Amino acid sequence: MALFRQNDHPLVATPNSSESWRAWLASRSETFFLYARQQTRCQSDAEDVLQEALFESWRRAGGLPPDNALVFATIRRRAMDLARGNDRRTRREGDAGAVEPLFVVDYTASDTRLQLVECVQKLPEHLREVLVLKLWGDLTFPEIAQITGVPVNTASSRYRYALEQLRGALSNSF
Amino acid sequence: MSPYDPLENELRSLRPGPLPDGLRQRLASPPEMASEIESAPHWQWWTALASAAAAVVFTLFFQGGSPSISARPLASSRSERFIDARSLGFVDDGSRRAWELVELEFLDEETLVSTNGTLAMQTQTVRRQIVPVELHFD
Repeated sequence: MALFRQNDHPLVATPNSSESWRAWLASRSETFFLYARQQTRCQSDAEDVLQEALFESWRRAGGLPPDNALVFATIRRRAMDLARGNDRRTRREGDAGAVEPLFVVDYTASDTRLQLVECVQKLPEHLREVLVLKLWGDLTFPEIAQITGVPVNTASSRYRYALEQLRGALSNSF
Repeated sequence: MSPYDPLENELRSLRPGPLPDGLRQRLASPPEMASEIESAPHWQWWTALASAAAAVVFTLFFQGGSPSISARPLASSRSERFIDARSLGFVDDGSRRAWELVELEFLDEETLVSTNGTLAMQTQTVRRQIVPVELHFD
């Protein structure tokens, strides 16, 4: 039984080859980083968590591109471990740190699009987490439910609620 | 939500921000696998042990001394103790069955007892084992 579902990836799977590692990162790393930033208090924490999580997931998959759900779950667990270990000083630094945009901002884009980026960043964490896992992580609701530790119906309703909040904030442009 | 929902389509078209250069460099090559990490210390450990044994033999042989062994190890005992379990995450096996990966931690103890009943040596090793546990959502 294969425990880890390999991604549908156009790679010749040679365990732990630099080529497959780089190709995998090129296709997924920005989405993983987006999720890591959400789960941590500052960008440097997100970088540490992401590096550890990617290495761990890669090793657990035997040196092959691991399942996306496994990587997201590992990022989440690593971020929670870090948060438990963080002292109050780190927390203050994180709160005071500049907030980099989560998405590539094209300032020539329409106002609605810029507003959409802003609204996504302002969503409550638990709603934004589901939105990111669903839209950019390409996960199913059962996978999201497993990662976030909530029932499938809750994951699904959080996603709908996030979209409703965005629609409301954008004055029903969509 | 419909796959043609314009809001979802607009959201999907947003591109997550790029990785910072520093992180990109840290991720330039794949991590060493566990077997690669373990192999070096193992090899070094055996080399050190063999060198030490050779040094003892050399010293005894050329100095004419003989070791004074008052009690030879006779019996050994092993024990295994469960310490901890923690969840590593969740996976599915491609047939929509969900599994939780649980890491179990054990403490292995090996004790050597000499002829006079005194404890000669005790080693403790922490051993980890990952087991898949199938999840049911009834």
